[in-house]
Amino acid sequence: MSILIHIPTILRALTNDQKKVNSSGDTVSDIVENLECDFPGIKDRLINNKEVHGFINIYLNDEDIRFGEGLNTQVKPGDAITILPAVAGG
Amino acid sequence: MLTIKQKQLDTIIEQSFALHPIEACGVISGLIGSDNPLTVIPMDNSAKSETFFRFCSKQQLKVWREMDEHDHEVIVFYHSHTNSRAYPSKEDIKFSIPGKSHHLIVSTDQNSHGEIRSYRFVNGRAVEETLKII
Repeated sequence: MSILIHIPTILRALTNDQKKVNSSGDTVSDIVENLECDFPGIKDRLINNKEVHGFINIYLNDEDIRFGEGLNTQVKPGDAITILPAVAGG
Repeated sequence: MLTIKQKQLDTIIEQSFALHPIEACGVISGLIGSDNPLTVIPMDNSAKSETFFRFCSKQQLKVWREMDEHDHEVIVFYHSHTNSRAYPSKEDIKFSIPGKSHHLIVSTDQNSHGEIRSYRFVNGRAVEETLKII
């Protein structure tokens, strides 16, 4: 099952400058693992302590997975994932 | 150097003082690669804190998609400091997004007299730049 993933500018150095990539998996966690195979180093930028990294937002379609099932969120054919940098500070 | 219109700055200052003592935040978008800030987009601070801000993630997705549709990108990130001067905090550095964007800080602290400064984040360090108001 192929899922479209939108990659933010800050991570494109890891995806050979590709703005959109495809990966597969039944959950967001699976997809991140598969992304790591294709684009080594990306997992560390997306996950910290088995949760979505605090510097990153991951959306399944229109929803931030942090407010749902997190990395265990199930994905279906036709879903799209968008990764954005979290914008925060003090 | 960041060149910004007085009207854009007025919008940001007005938002910052209206939300004081909660930190205000937002972006100014412009055409990709132009370094020309065009559209001020206030963002909701989901932290609703006097010492921290975080863009509302749902609103951020909507705004980022709209920027994509218009071939825009973030030219300026901005936020307010409500209890300190307009210098980057440790949290600002920690969450800094490297790249070409400018980072504007407005102080609404009563002792700072509306101080405004602009920075770029380079290799995890904040480098102050000239702010030109036109």
